[in-house]
Amino acid sequence: MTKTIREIITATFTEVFSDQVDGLSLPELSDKLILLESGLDSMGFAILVSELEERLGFDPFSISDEAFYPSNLGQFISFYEKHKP
Amino acid sequence: MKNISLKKLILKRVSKHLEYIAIVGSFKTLLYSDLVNIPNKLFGQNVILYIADPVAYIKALVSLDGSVKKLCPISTLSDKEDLTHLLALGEFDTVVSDLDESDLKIFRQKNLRYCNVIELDTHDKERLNNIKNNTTWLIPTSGTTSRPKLVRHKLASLASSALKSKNYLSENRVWGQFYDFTRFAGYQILFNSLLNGHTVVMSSLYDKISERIQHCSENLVTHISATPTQWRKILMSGIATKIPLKQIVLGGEAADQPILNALRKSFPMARITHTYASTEAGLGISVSDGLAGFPVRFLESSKGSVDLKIRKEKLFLRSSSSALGYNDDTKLKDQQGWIDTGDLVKVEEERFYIIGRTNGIINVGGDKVNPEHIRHLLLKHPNIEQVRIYGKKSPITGMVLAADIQLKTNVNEKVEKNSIKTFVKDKFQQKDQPRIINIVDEILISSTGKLN
Repeated sequence: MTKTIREIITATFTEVFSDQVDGLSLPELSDKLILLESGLDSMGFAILVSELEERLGFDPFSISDEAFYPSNLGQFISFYEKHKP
Repeated sequence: MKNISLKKLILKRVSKHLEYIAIVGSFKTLLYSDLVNIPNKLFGQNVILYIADPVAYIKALVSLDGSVKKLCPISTLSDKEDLTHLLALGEFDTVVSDLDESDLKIFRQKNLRYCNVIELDTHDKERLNNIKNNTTWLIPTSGTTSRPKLVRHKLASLASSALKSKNYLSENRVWGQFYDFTRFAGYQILFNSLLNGHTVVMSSLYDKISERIQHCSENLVTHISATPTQWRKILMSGIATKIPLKQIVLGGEAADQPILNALRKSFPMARITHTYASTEAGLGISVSDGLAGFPVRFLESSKGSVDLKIRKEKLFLRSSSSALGYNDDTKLKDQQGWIDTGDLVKVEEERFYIIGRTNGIINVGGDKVNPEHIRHLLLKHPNIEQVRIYGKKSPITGMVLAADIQLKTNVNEKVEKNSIKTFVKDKFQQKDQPRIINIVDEILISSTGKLN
């Protein structure tokens, strides 16, 4: 069964988090999670977006005309779902 | 502006409003009357400032400019290797700090005297004297090599943009601090505020971004200057629009169209300006039309005290606020005063865009990274055969540092990828760490011996 965008994002988030963040445990990946308080810094998000581009085949930040920077995980996932080519 | 100290300049420009608030820190507020009463200290010495508390740091600048010979403020967030390197670039007598002596071993090894920042506050009548020094400020810059350089400035060049303001006391501006105040961009905010009777709201660089934004919104900040990467973070906080911003400034790296659009959407009433400046060239140009890049007409006519030209796709700048030179006397300007910025420029229709560096330096969120240096560091790993380092475009940080790696034969790819990641984390400064690591079969070398 193909994985949903949400599943791919949460799995990738978990991997990038364990790779980039030392000494913190993974927060609960709920829609309300404030991205910048998750423990990942902006470089962490840059890696997450790059990794997701590899896995999903698109980067909504580059293809969207909408100027948007999501603040929580729910907005982040919706942004990907909305801009899936 | 001739040989006048920071304290006297504040007194001259803000004399009728000494009751105004100059600085709001996390725990402390200073009026202009507090600043102009700070005693001068350490006459004639060459001094390093290594101070974590931003309010104590500003007080030290006011105390020491005009009395010390050389003033070299260094961020307490500096990497230890960079710090050792910077200390070797000049001869210093004293380190002024608010840290414990145990955190200052590196300075003791260099036989520097330690002066606790509190000592600057004490009025010592016997030491009051009239020695005046036109203090030289040494500003660390990432430069074009793998290690920082020190650039020589005077207060006059650092504060030239601040001193241009007319009617400066008519508007009540409140600046929020996001730049490190030991860097060129930080001084622009600091002096624009202090020499024009405005207020600067400071928070520790150690604070979380959400706390810093909260602090700005509680203190009704109206002006913020930050890099595009910092602005993306500010917007991602979700609470940015609580700040009653009237002026937004972007600098330090190229501002792309998405961040300019996103800021316009979040702050419809604010003026949005992006700038081009450098520690060496001083203040360059700025534009507030909401479009990425700069108008080509800037190249044709002199823009105030700044001239610009493009030669062989490179940007050259001549500015009245440029640095005196490097501390080691490496050449900075040509005979006509032009500075080679090292920035590559692309002209498209009526705009020109900064697209990279001529020497291959990669700008990652405002930090300059030398790919050759990183390549050499990675080649020290026992199982790496060849490396190619490059910047991968990122909508979050402008660029992310990436490495294609060819392993030596007969090594396990999965095991080695983890070993390389650990190697990078252990041995590299944070800004120098390649964050994307791709193991590839082969890295091609061209006929000229260069990596493809």
